[in-house]
Amino acid sequence: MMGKFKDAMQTMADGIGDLSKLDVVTFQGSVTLNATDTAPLKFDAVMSSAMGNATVAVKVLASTQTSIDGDIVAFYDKDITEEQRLAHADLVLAGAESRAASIEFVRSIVGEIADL
Amino acid sequence: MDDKFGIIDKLGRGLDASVSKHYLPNATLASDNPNKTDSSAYIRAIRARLIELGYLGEGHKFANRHNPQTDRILIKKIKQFQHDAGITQDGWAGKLTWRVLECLVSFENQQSPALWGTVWRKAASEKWRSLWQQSTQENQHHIWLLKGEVLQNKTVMRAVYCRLYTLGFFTDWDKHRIHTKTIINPSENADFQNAIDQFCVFAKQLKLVKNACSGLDINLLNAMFEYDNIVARLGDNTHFAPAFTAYPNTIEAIARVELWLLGYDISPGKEQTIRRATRRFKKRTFASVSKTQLAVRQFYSDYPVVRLSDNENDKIYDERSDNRQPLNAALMAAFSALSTSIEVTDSDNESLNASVSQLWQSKSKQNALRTQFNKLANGIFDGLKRMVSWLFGAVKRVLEKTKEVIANIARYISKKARTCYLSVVKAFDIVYSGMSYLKGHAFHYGAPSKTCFAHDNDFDQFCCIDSKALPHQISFDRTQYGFQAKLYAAGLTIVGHLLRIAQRIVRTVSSPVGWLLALLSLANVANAIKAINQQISLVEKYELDVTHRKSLFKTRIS
Repeated sequence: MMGKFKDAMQTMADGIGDLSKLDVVTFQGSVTLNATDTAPLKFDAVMSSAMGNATVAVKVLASTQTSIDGDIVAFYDKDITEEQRLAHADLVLAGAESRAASIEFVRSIVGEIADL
Repeated sequence: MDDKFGIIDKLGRGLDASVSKHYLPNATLASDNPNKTDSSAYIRAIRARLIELGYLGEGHKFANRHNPQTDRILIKKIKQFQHDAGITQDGWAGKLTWRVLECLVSFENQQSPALWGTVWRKAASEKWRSLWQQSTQENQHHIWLLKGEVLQNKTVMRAVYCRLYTLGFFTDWDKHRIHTKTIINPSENADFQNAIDQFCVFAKQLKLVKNACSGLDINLLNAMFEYDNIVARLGDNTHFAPAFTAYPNTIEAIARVELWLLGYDISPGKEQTIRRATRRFKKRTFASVSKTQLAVRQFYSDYPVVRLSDNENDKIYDERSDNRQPLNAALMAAFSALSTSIEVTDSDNESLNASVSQLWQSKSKQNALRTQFNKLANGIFDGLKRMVSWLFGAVKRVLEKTKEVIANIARYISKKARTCYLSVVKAFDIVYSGMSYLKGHAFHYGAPSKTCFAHDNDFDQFCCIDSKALPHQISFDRTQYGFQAKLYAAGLTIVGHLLRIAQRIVRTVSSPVGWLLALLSLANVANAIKAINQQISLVEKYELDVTHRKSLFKTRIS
């Protein structure tokens, strides 16, 4: 448990540098995953697998970039379905919430340490 | 320099004004020994005397002095007393107030009302004092300084009431006990007048007053407060026998006062009883025993010489028979002898030393001394035993009375503990699941899965959706991923609260006022736990997945 927590903290610390921007990209490609927990997947592997299928071209369905100053740039493919759009919107929400929770956590921890 | 003195003058004038308006105590009237006036024992003594004179209620006997209201009431009553006594009213119980109280209440000191005027008004000169001492009984009342005033003085009348009550001249101990609203004017209070008349007859019997008196006058006042004279007269059997026949309550009350003065476990005034246990045929029975009887018995045992000096006409106390009257003239004579102040000279000291040396030479006297010490030690041990058994009984009674309340509290705590345990288990699982979100692995749900979700270190999100994925598959997978993100947020909040609790514990342990901080932190810890619970309740859909291979908790809790 503690090792896992330490890894998570390290990962979070690495990401702090680029917290000013949030990029969300939704792709469309041929994906069929049968992996189990024993072999965790990396997204890069998934993408290369999707791109490996010659019959289906991988394309970007939607992309949203949110800056810390409030600027939002969004792109949606004209063929995007309603479910795909909702999935993208959920991703934007999840990304924003996760980032906000992380920033709040770091802020509170720094505050507590300063109090000590 | 002039300015400086001007400020000091101004300050001095301000202080004088404060003293004159009674905002500050008048230091010039205070006792020579500041420790005496400041000590809580002194305040208690003042309070006890004011209660005795009926200025304060009985409830103030054990009043907590840390309550500012208590001191305000005390000061108010001291002022009232000073007003009634006709002395400076400053609310400051200094030397003069103390002396006046001693005159009125004490059975030992200031027993001559004729001298009270000198004490109160500081009016008497040395010349007057010598004149008084040389005067005969017949002409004493002619030189009484405050003759008229003393008998009209409210405090004196209260003291008279109190004295007559303590000496048992009232018919009912409970009904006639002095209190703040007692009418102290004999003409308006028939019981008081009756008590005065009774004392008149009593004093006449003891030949304390020469002529038959009508009401309270100076001679009667002198007879009443010259207490040692009363005891001395009762030491003579010719006076004792008729007095005992007519006033048995008074004789007992006087015996109580004397025994109290000698330090026995008894208080003056109303007769008190204690419950004593006796064991007969393995059966324990309780009986009420008079404390006066016990104290007199103890006195006889401590001063056996008194019993030896009894003559046949006296009703001698016999240990074998408790029914016989232990009060007699010899006892009163012994009291009188013990209360007479003895001046110790060097020769007395020498004779004392000689007696002690002699005591050590005799084996039997050494044994007697050892027995006395043993008795003393046993007495202390008995007292302790009684106190412990009383405490034990009190705790037992309280526990019996609050048994149901304690059981309810225990039930409540156990219920809360169960809820808390469930919260703790859930909180750990949420944190564990939430932290796995950070690993950067791709998330896919179901097998085979048609969607894949991932994020990188700065929470940029990526998703790859199969073109053949059905809408319900996409919907299920995105909900799962969204929930995972929520778990992460909730887990982080919980860890934040836990760290805050840990930080408070560290601070509490390292602080010199740890216990105080611990108490203060309890409220904050409770808030943190509440916040954790809130996080758990926010993740409404979350249930412990005990079937999961990596699940920390293998048993479902309900």
